[in-house]
Amino acid sequence: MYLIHNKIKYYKNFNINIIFINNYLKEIYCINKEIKIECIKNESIIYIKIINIKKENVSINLLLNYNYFNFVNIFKINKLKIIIGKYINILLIEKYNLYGLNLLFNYNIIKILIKDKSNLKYLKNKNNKIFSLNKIYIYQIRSKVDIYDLDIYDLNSINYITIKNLSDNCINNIYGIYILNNNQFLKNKFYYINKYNNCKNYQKFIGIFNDYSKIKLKGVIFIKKRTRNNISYQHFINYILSNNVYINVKPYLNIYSNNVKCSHGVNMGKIDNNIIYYLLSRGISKLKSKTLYFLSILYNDIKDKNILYLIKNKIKNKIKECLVKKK
Amino acid sequence: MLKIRKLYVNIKNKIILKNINLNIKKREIHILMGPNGSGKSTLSYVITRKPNYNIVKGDIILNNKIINKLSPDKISKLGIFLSFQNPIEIEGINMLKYLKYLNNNITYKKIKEYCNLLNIDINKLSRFFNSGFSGGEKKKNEILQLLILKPKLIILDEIDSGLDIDTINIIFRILNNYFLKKKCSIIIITHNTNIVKYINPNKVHIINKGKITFTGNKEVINKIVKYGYNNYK
Ligand SMILES: Nc1ncnc2c1ncn2[C@@H]1O[C@H](COP(=O)(O)OP(=O)(O)OP(=O)(O)O)[C@@H](O)[C@H]1O
Ligand SMILES: [Mg+2]
Repeated sequence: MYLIHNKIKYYKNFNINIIFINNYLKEIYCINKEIKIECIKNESIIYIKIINIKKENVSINLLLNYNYFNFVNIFKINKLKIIIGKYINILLIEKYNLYGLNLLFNYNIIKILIKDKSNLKYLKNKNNKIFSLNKIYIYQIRSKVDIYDLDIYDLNSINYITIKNLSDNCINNIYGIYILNNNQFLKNKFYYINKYNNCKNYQKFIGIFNDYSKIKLKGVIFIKKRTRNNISYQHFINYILSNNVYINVKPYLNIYSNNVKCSHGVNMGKIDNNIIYYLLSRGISKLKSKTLYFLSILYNDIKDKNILYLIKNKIKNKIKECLVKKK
Repeated sequence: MLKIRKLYVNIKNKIILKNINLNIKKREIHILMGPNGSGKSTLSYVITRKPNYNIVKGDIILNNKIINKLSPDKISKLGIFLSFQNPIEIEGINMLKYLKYLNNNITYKKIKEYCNLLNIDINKLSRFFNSGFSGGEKKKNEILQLLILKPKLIILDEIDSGLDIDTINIIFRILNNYFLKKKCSIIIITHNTNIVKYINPNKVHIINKGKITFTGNKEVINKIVKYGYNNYK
């Protein structure tokens, strides 16, 4: 393992690189002086605590840098608990590198506790060679969380995302992008659990499905009795490009408070043919017009420029691949 | 350049255009006028082969080739450009990136030059496509695309509606000085009876209830000003 270690890439544009090899924590690099990192690890779980030493807000980019070599023990689950202290703006990104492997089955459990006045942007990412089962738990205390859940890769995956508020005044947004084709299968479950007041939750899932792809989405919203001023919005929009797509989308609303603004819905996305015609009439090919159209739908909701920059090419390629007619 | 022969068009099983005949030669300017709902925009859509605008009978011929069955993108590649009466908005697509889709080789410098020509604030091109643009600004964006695409046959559907006098002047100056010099043909759909102040048409057509009821020279416009479309039913 040490021999191959020098193959591992560090990503300089991240202040913190947390490097795993075959799901074992290898090293943590932190180049930010305003941040202190504490780490405890044992055989089954890794705790990482990120603390802001200064009193003011600090912004950091954190990379969960996963590396896999040929001898992966598939029974080794990656269990990680991250505690994000107060006054931290954090962009958290996952990156998977496979060396000498064509395929990987991976099981990840990540728990994140995020504290007062902090702000987490989490880009959930995968790789074309990974079958994955992911469980993510986010616990919030007076903080804001944006999750970008991307499933635009070639292999199947199962994701569970749970967000639980541990105080009043929490804001969280989940933005899911799912582009599936061939025989791809995706199963995602979202739980939002809120027992406090003045919390906002916004969930939007846009899917584009072609060929024989299969998708199961379940969104559960729980809002406790006698809570006040909560807002919860959940929306699924699905574009189905083939008759053979299997789709099962279920929202579950368990709302026991009277003082809540809530809306939810599942829509079949309809392509606006006037837009497609406009683009075609400017000489843009059918494939490019449709690609542009779907990109416009997906990009319109991504307000964060950094995130958009990181994912746009991947999305574009996958859409193109998804739209190309199979022979 | 473009010939339309005995063209009948229906939309959703309703005949909208009947027996349309047109012959537009290279470097010719044709004006198309007519009451609201008479079929002017429909004609421009059918030439650019908008889906569901079905040709029941007749032919559209470009440079001696029938183009009835081509798709809109192919039509555009053959050099036909339609400036829309109501340009659409596309949220989520950056204007500048979009312009690159029209012509990958277009430089920022060139775009800037065109923007200056049209009095478009180039900073606005960092917005989403036509999003939050005024009616007139959207029309200018159509001309910007026209400049980038450099077509051979230009159809302008009410380009002059809702534009201030300076912008109208700019646009017609571009058409006269640039596109006509390049031997382009132009179809202008308009309600503006002062149109001949800006451009000198070879022919004027009047369309009413889906039929061309008059074809002649620009003198007819004065008659329309006096008597309306009543004599051209
Ligand atoms: N998609 C459509 N479905 C049904 N009818 C349509 C459709 N498009 C156009 N029409 C009808 O065709 C007729 C011609 O419409 P068109 O838009 O071509 O008129 P126009 O001459 O451009 O009018 P204006 O001067 O108001 O722009 C109208 O009666 C209109 O209602
Ligand atoms: Mg019209």
